[in-house]
Amino acid sequence: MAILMGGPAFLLLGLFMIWPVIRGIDLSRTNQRFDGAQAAAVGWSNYDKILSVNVIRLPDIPDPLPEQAPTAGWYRSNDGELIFRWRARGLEEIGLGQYADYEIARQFSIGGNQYAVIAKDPLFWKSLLNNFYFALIVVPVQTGLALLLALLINQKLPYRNVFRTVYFSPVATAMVIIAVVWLFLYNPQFGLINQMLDFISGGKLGPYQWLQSSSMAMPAIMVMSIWQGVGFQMVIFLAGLQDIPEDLYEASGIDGANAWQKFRFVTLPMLRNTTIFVVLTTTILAFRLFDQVNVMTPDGGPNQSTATMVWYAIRRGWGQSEVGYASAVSIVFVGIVLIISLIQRGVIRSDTAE
Amino acid sequence: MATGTLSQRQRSDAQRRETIARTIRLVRRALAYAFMIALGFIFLFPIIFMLVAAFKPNDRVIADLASFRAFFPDPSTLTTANIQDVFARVPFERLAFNSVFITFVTVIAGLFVNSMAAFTLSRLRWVGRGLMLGIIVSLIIIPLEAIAVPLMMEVNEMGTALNLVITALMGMLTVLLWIAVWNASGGWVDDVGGGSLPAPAAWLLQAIFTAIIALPLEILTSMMIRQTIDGGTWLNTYHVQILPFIAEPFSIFLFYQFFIGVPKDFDEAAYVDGAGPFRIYWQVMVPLSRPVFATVAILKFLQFWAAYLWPLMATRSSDYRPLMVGMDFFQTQAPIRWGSIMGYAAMVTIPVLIIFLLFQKWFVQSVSSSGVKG
Repeated sequence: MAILMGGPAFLLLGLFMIWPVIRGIDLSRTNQRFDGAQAAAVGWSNYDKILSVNVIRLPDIPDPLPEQAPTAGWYRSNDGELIFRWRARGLEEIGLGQYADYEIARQFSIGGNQYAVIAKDPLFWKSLLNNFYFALIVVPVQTGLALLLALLINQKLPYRNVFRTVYFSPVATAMVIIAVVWLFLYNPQFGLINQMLDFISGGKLGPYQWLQSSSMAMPAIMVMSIWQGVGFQMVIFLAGLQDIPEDLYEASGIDGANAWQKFRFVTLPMLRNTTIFVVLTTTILAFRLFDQVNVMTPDGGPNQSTATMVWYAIRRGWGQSEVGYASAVSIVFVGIVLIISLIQRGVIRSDTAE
Repeated sequence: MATGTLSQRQRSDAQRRETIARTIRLVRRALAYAFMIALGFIFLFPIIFMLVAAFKPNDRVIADLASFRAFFPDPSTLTTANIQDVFARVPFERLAFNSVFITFVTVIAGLFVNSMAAFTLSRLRWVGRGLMLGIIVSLIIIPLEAIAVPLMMEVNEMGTALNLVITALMGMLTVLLWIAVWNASGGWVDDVGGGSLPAPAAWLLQAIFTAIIALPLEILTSMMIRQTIDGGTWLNTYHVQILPFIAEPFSIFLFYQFFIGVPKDFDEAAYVDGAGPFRIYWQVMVPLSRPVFATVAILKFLQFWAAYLWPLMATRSSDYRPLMVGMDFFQTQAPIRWGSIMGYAAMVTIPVLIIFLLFQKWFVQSVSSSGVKG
């Protein structure tokens, strides 16, 4: 009977969750394409391409600079800017031949020496960093705001449930739809957000380029994501707040605790498990970022500033039909999500042990 | 005399202090409300703007942005032109049907399949149960986004043998649901006929109930049978958007957590009466577990209604596409009319907002119970 009743779920999970992971590992070691071209085994080369990253010291800036731009090396551009040209053909001559497969991701200088971060697939690293950037800002801000909203709603005020409904309503609307509406709100020429900033600041702020600027695009998506998701966490915090026994507050009141002390020494410790849950789920959600990015910046944003790992895997696997390579990206993505969950769990466990 | 003045002064002091305290309380409350209303505006303005813009003439949508008119409809220019344009540009009825059908079947079948699995994990003894529970808990971490590309490859290559297995599975599920509803609907038929219906009529009524409630699964199974016979890829079908998402580790986990909290006395009493596991599941566990069923139903409804990535990858034509993917059409096909986009957005959002407002207590409860975790 157990087989008959549990069987459907276990079979479906095996077919559509476990098997794709196994198949993904399998595909990631081929150059399989979706358009039916013959696939060949390529060993670990996809992973090598994805994960190869290095910091190297660039050759010293020659003095005088060459009149003509070399195939690879330092030269001064027409704008007078000092540029290191990185061309696979020319790297051999300047002793960097072993890095012919790499591209420059970032350049910096320490103490007069020039260095470069190079990677075989810079866009993957860019996407990964963007995910971390998103998570590092959104997780604490959204958790903090959710707690603040929950505290506000938890006051014994008449009509508080109206506000709870209002703050929660973005959660009930689909992200894709919301992203399109915000795309309009963020429009640099006539978007409502620029108009409102202009109105509030009396013309001092804006107009901003939001999604068209590489420094603003990701923050703009963060703001919208927090706006859409914070109600969900608020409700979870609210449940946590309502589970705190009233006697604790009364007892601390008798001990002479003020409002802040009550919050610090009663509310926060009692919300510990809730906070852990909220942080864990928000972190995983931050790494799964795709819908709003794909709707608002289908090309990964200006200067790839809103590219994310999922966006990148889908672009390679579905958009460019490179299933093998995208599977490798997906497997690396699963690995990263797994490592983050394990680290978080470890932190929580050692925290509890103290 | 002196004491009298003192007590009078004391009284007036106390009075004054109380007035001050009351004023402070009032001011504090007013500030709290002002703050909450300001926040409320931040949460509502995009939605209000969208709803208002949907019913404005296309040229006013952008023209009104510079003023507060963006949030207020002008009654004299209210129009359904945007809505009509939506119907003219996309097969809205078809997209809406697709969304409703896919969401409905996934949620209903998911409730049934996942709760049964959780029942076997929490109530039946079998070899490998602990291992299976461990696997399911660890599968919670794996996001759909991570397996989307290999999954697309898999469903594209789905051979006849596997197709047969899955179709048989769906057939079996439909039969199980038939048995379950047949069982339960006996009581309903008695209620309807006052227990006085002749047996054939009661059976007929029971069969009708059963067929209707199991209808979505029946349709899906028949479509799968058809596809197994015809062959061909899974891409651009309904079942490619439904089958991979019926079984879901987090739903199983939520059911499991609830079921282990239900006292064993209930099923023991039923066992003594000679009921089998399925009967206990259907007649004891399901009625006792309405809150968790509501929780899973609402969370999954929100998730599948908003599904975007997988339908985008797995469908090609509006015959099978859901509403979320239909939005792409307005953004990519010239001319871009923001009025129509807002009209479409409003048409997709309004039904869900109404459902949300009607059942908001359940929504909030389901979200908060999804976070209850030790």
